[in-house]
Amino acid sequence: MQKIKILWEIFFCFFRISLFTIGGGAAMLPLVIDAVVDKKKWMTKEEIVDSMAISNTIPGTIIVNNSVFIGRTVAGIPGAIAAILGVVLPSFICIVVIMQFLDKIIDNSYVLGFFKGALVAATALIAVACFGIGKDIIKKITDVVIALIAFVLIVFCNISIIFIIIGGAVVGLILYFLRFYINKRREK
Amino acid sequence: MNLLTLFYVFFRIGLFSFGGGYAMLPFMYESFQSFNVMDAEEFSNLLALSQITPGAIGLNAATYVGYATAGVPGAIVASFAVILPSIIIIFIVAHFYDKYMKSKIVEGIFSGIRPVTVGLLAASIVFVGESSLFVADFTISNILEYGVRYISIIPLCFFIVALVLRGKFKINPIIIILVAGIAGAFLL
Repeated sequence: MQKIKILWEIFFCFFRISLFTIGGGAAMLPLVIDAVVDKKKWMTKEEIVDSMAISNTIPGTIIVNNSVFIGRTVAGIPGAIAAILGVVLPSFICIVVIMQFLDKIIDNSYVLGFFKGALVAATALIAVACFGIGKDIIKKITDVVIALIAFVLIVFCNISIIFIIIGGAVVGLILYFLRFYINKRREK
Repeated sequence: MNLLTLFYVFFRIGLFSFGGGYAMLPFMYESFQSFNVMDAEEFSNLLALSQITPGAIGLNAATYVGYATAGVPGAIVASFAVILPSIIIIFIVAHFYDKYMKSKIVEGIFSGIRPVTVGLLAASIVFVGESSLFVADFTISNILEYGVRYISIIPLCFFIVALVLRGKFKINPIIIILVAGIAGAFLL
């Protein structure tokens, strides 16, 4: 059955993504783009970007929010469930396994080195994803300004991401209707 | 602590943690103190554990605490409780997103949110970079103070290699993460 096949695909997709997302929500994005947009073509880059924005705004972990949203978009409620199971299982297994050996692992220099390397890779992957998405999304000068201001506010002013996203929504709304009315007047 | 309390504590954490990832930790710590879940020393163990497990921190923490408190049933209850708010809210938001996606207002809103997301991603490069590439926090004074030495040299090599592998050769990000991790285990 086609439906069952897709559910398994969703499950494994998010299992892999959850297993290799090291470094937080943003680190998930390159993996999601590679799997969901490039390989499986279930969603477009814009839809994933919207999903990321929504996932950052509502409470809970970004990784879980994103997985539920994408799972639901691809295959409704069963898809969401498949995605959730895929996301939760690696955590579950890792923790249960690791806790048996916790003492030996925590200070092991190989393990720490592994995660350091993985984090560097994550940084690079996020950079590539940022550039790739930026190319598609930043089209007008106002987009550049908004992105720049958002960056500065988050990095230097420590303002919570939710407020910045809401601010962006408001600004976007205002600009959208401004452009709308300006074009209307030009037509007259 | 019984399963019901476990469920309640983590449902609350899932419901009120905005920002995902490390932003969840303060609220988690507070909740753990109020409900006598664990003391400061165990919490720092938890922190150390979350550095070396992939996936979402909130979820890992829930699994860890649940397992330590009440074995596998505890892990299941806690994990389910922490993601339940996400699931509910995402379904509500996604429903409205689908329904009003084509409306002018939603279009306007997302025309502002999308560039913000690009800025957010750029900020994530900085944040993940702080824990992998940079010697100190990302502030103007630090960069000026350290100059060229602000970025550690071996991680920088990793970074550039990862950048090229993904940006130019479009290699699967999971492979890049694994290779960087293994190299990191021996070199970092």
